[in-house]
Amino acid sequence: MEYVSPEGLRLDGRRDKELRRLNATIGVLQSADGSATFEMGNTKVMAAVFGPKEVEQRSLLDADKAIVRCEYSMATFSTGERRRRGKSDRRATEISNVIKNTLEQTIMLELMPRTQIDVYVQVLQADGGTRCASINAAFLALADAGIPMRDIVCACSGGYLDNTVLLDMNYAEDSGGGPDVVVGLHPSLDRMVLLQCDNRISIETFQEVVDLVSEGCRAVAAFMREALVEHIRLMAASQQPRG
Amino acid sequence: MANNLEKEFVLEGLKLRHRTDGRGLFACRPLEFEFGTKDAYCIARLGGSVAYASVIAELDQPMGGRPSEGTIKFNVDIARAQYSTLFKNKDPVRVNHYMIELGRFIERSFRESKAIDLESLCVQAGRRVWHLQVDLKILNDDGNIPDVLGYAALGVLRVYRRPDVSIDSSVPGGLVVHSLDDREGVPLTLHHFPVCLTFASFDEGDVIVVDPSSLEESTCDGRLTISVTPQGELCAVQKAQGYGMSQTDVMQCIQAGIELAESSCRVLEKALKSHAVARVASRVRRTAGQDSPKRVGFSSESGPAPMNIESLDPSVRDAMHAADEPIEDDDDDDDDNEQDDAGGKRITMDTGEAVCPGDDSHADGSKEQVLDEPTQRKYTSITNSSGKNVDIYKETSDMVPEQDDAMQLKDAFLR
Repeated sequence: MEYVSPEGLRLDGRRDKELRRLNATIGVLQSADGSATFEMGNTKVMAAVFGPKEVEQRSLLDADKAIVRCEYSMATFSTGERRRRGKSDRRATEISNVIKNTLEQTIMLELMPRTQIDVYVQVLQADGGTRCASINAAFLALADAGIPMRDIVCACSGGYLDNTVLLDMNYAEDSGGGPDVVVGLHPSLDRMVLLQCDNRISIETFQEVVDLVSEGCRAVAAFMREALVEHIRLMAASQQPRG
Repeated sequence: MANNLEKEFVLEGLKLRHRTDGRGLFACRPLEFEFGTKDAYCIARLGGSVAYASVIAELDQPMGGRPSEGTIKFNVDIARAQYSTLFKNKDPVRVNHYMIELGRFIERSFRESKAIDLESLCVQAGRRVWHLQVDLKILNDDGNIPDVLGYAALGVLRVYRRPDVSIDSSVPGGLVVHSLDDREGVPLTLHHFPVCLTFASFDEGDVIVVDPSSLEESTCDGRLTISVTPQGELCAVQKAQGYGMSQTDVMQCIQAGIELAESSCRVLEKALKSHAVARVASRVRRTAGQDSPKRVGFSSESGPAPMNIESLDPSVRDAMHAADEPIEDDDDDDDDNEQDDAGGKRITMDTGEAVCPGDDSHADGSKEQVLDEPTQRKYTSITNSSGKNVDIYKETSDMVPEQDDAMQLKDAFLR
């Protein structure tokens, strides 16, 4: 199967270094302290944040900092075939852990000791890059909840198919058998808090892919910053006193 | 878990580029391998950390969508004794999550990087394929569990031999699975050997070390685990917790990792070579003297096992051989071995490999008697130089060990 045509177009008509269309909505759930949806192409993820609140399980209480709990789940209708996944789905557990660890590095936990922050991520539509969209959505939801953070955390994925370095792969390209690199970045601090790579890849190619994906992350970060500013502006405008 | 004073000590030392155990920043702890004689388990030791890996193979229908490929699954567990020390105050759910994360990483570095040839596990496309289950167990945690699990997994996959299968239409089902006594097992096909290496960063990423000890692990800010092949390819990368690392640091770690992977693979090759000799030597049973039969499980380091010595009464010998029938099941797990060491129930490990030390008569010109048994086996009794009767268990087979193995065998006899 050809993933990159000779003219340099991918399966969905993008160029090799092009991100998918991004879309973010902040403040979608009334019951949550903070919530957001994030779309990367056809992948759509919703995140909800509850907290900081009292720790439910006393044994987990940390006197120095807040604890973060994260749950990632895919809706049964999110993939092409309806599939009900149990709670002990290994992939879901792994991704929940990954998101939790990434957020633990981002949130200033020391400012909120003896509390708990719950992050629930639900994948509504899966088309590759759900991990990245989840982290981005979680970030926006945390910002909506007003939780203090060190820096923007943005995530993006990339790979290498048909001798081309590709950015932000969709499901078809993901299943192409090439390497899959996920980077979670703090752009201002210039630190990677998440780096996962699957499949065999040579060192030089790996370097190229990581470079490209970091650039993609920064583009996503810029988009999210804009989305947040826009959201604040709308909130401020709606709360202005009349007359 | 280290207390604050210990953490401070480790950190201050690392700022001066000194590690508490005197190693260099990019030096690993000594690596050791131990293999089971039935080629079904491997114990890897990295300093004080110990992990155990075993493989179980099952012949079954292929998974939907891939009719000509076998499957392999990795499962990580922790010895109950380690549970409380490793995860003090953490709930079982978190322990379970950690195990799953480790299992997923090992799976990614072996299965998703196509290190194992799954197509070679196919017996009949669409009907019967081999499903492998690799069980990894953490026996002792002294820091750096992911690496020692990776070594154990690599060791067991290299040493494991699955039963041979042949197609026979006269048998119901059409397949005959030969037990490891009848036919030599078939080793797995590995395309490359991924080696897992963990790096820990301290002082906000200022200092990076490889193979953190338990103390360093409690002190570190962040960790990065990579899986590299000695040929310079990256199989998997996992940096999913702890303080962030810059890209230059990550590339530096990967470069250092490749050299370390080369030396680890050399250690593994050496261990496998001495295991091969030990495995062949274990086929040989020697009988002499009045000592009671004792079965000693052995490791690759101790070399060929001490042979069993018993009186040569033919009826006793027959009874012994009858009792000697190896057990049919092939999974050589923990329980099996414990039994061996304690009761001395099994006497030899024989898996159908021929033992032909060249000629039947010894260099010192002792006699030879060939006894025909009702079973397929042939016994040759010779008297060696010290006057003891030595029983050589000979089986007709196409396999002949290499010359140096045979020489080492001869040395073992003449001891």
